[in-house]
Amino acid sequence: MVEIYTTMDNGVEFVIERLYRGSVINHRSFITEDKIDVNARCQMPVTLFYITWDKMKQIKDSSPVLSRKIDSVELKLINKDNPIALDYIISRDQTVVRNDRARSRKEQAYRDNLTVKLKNAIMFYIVKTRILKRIPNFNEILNMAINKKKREMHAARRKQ
Amino acid sequence: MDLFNKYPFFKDELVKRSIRYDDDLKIFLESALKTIEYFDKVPDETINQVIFSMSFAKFDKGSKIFMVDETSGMMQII
Repeated sequence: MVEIYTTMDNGVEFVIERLYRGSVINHRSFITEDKIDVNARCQMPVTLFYITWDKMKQIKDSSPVLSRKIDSVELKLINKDNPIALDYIISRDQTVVRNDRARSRKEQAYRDNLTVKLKNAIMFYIVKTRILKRIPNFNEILNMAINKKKREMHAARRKQ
Repeated sequence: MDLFNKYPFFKDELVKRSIRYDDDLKIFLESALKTIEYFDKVPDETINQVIFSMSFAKFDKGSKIFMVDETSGMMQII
């Protein structure tokens, strides 16, 4: 089992999701080589099967159908400000709900997809807030001061 | 490669047979890949290529798979 987690500002580790056998990780973010916003660790010995983007690109180039589909995913992701904070597909057995009725595989997949979307939306705002709250380092303060001065000088020149 | 150039039917036959090949691991990877939206309606031959291009890595309990701010360079299946 793999745990996807984030560390909150007070240092507490918050588990976002527990992923089991058959789950897929980073299937979209590896296309754009996106920065990862969360951590992942194994809660038991795990075997991971993986494919690098370089290998996938070779296969994509040899298949027009796959190429078209990946390009459309890429188009959706590119030029967006951190579109995917969480990038995984949950795989779990059918959940038994009330009255011993088991959900169909399709319904379970649909609900799991919605869960990821909701958590992704929340994570997006957590990451955004973190960036806004982050204390700038010395270089960043210096750059901000230089830029401010430049803007002031520019404005003063315009007035003359 | 020379063999494939000399006998193209041999390559075709190998591809066909690899699509029909059905051990548990291949079936598992195939079903996991088919949950990804961009593999929907992609020919079996291409999905097969992806499956046979995959590598595997073993992780112990407690080990980190990736961390914040790392660049995602690969897709993983658990």
